[in-house]
Amino acid sequence: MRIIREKSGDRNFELAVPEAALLRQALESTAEAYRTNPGELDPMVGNVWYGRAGLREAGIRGEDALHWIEGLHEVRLGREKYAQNWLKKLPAVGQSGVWLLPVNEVDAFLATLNDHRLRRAAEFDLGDGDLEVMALEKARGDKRIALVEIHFLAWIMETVLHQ
Amino acid sequence: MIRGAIDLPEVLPEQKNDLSEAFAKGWRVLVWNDPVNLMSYVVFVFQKVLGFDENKAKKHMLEVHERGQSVVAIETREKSEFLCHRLQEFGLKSTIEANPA
Repeated sequence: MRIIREKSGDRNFELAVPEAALLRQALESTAEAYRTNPGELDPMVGNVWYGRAGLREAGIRGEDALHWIEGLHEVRLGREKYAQNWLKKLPAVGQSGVWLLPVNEVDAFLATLNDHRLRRAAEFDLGDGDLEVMALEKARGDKRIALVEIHFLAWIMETVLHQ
Repeated sequence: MIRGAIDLPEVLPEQKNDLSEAFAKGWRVLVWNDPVNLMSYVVFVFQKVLGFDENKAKKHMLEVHERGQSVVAIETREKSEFLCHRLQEFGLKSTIEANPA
């Protein structure tokens, strides 16, 4: 994969078949999770995207806490619309190709990839040691797939952030 | 009374306390460490949400990374809630608490 920053700030992605497939899969699954009501998510995921930790201590309870969570969900629903557009423009399934990320969508893209990483880590309760690259070699099955996604998206995010 | 002048309501003593509290920067916004968020991403979010320059953003990111948490703002209650919510929108672990006097 190559990510080229244009003068405009737009990012041009050159994606090989597996890279396009992985990015597509991440965006599709996270878009679906965005559409899901917070209370209906896997509790571990709900806790990391819509965590109530700290709300009670800050005196944010009842209706106020609900509004807090609803606000976070609204933001993610906004990102879901971006994700649908990105998916339309990614190379078709089974194909390599180029994909343009407009500069004004970079922030939403980074946050969406980050949300995917948080979600996948929460699904497998991954902590510090689990996220070391060496741990990837020992992981198996779905956990290994999750770790591949987490590291792949990290690479994309680091590249975009450092351009 | 001068024509066009507006009669302002008198502020009662107990209202003055409420107003003072509302405008007092008595709340802290904290960001907590987590194993997933990238350091570069945390720096980006601090710049975007909190308006930090790169050096300040890196300083607070390193505090989070090395000490487990960082106080990134001391603000009014309302502003603290706003900033905390914004940080959570980007996936950071953030809470608010009363600033010890």
